[in-house]
Amino acid sequence: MAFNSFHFLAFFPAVLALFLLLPHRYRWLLLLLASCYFYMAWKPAFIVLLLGAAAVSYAAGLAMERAASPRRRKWILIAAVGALLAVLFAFKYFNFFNVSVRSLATLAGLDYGIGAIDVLLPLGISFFTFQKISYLVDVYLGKFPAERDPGTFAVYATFFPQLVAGPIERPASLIPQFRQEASFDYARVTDGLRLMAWGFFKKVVVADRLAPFVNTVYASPRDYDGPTLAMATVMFAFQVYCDFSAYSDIAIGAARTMGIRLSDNFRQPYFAASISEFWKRWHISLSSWLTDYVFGPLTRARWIRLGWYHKFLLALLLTFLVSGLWHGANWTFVIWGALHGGYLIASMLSQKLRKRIVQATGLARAPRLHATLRVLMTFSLVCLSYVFFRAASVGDAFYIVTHLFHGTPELLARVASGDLGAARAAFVVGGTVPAFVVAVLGVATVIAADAAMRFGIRFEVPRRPVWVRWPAYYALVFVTLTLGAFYGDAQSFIYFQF
Amino acid sequence: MLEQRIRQIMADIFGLAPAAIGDDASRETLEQWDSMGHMNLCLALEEEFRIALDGERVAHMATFQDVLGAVAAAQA
Repeated sequence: MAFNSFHFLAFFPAVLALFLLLPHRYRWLLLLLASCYFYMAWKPAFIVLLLGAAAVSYAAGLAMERAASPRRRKWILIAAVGALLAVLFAFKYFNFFNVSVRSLATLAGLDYGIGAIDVLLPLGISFFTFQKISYLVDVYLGKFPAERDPGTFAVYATFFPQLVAGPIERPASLIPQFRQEASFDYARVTDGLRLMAWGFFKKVVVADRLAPFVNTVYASPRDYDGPTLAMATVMFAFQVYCDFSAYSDIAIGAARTMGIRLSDNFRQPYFAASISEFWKRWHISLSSWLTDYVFGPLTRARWIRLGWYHKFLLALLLTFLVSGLWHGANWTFVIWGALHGGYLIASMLSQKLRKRIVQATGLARAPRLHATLRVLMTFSLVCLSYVFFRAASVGDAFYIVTHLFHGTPELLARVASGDLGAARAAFVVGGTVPAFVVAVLGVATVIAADAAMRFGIRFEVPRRPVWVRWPAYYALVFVTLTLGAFYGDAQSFIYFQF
Repeated sequence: MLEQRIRQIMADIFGLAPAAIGDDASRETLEQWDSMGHMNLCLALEEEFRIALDGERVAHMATFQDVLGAVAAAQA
């Protein structure tokens, strides 16, 4: 079930009402049934996969604790994680892997008979697989006791707000919360609803309004010139941010109404002053998962026989490759990941040089200007990587990257001489001017809101008097309903495909 | 003094005042001491003291005291 659907708008209030009315000891059952229903609303048969993965993880957790020897414990971990990854691999990566192997085989002149398998990707598989792996590893390491109660574990494994697109939660953060009784707290429920409303605004008014422009350009990039390509890329940066952060906001908000605290997933990422900082502000739950379960272990791995420096570089690169691949079975994602790994390595190697440039140009004495330049630079690097993230193929991506500034001087000259029609033709592609204006105003609103949060300017709408609060809420809902993209214009969440 | 120099290096790398790096400073307490910060710190220490830090120590270094120990061990 998608959040931006009338189905969800009917489902959620019903579940919330029942949740608040039921006594604590029955709530787990409600959540479990609601979550299964939520998942089955898309493709019923896949519930078997979800519950199967839950059962395997539950059993493995208990088995590890009862294991007679550390060796046996280790093998249970390897078997369970292996099984989860094998399923993920089969659904997500088999065809990608197969095509690559076939190309190699053909190059070597071998006859490769294995065909592609036609398979639909189960919703949320990347998310819930990673969440269960963190459970298994944390139990193995003794960081968290294996959950004995199957009901509690089942709710943890299927919890509908975060099941399909995160945030990816650690067992220690989430499981204990299901055991606590959530009392009815009006402020908490309205907090959650507020967050959901903001998420809906970002998704339906901003992300989905940007989509047609981005999709038109990225569908056939060779039909467009530099300014249009650049605009579409920047628009995509805001589309994917609004889309994904909206999902997280709705997830976190929905959970909050039920007294469950989920982790922050985004912290004004486009205000990061470095790529390193960006990854602490973007898809935080995935970055920290990768740091704790991939990067950290790799840097401490004794079987990698390299000096600490080269081990670190290798760990960095491998972690970003995993990150890229996690997003999708496509070379474009691998390159996206590798680019970010490359950015970090380059930033490390160039630290001294950059310090010298900052001193020499006098930027050191203008910290605000320096900070602004760093933010703009970081955003540009991120946008550049988005070309690969969004492009349909590596070929398309390279075309776009090599033509980003092509035709810019000509367009500037034409606009300067009063030919606004040229600007319109370049930028308003795949939609109308009003839709374009809505999209741009939407982006401006989100940037303003993020800037306020980033610099600690607190509107504190909830604390303002009634005559400020209610018009504000009304405006948000009104704008969402009137300017939002519904029915044919509605887009599915970008991260549903991961 | 060794401690003083190390404190200064950490301050430079993390963009903090040396006073902000207490004796109990650790990766938990200093936000800037993340993976990249750790890497840059180790590079700076090796360069400043002309030493080669032990890989195992680098991988598990998490507090100011760990850093002191690692540098002392490498100088020995």
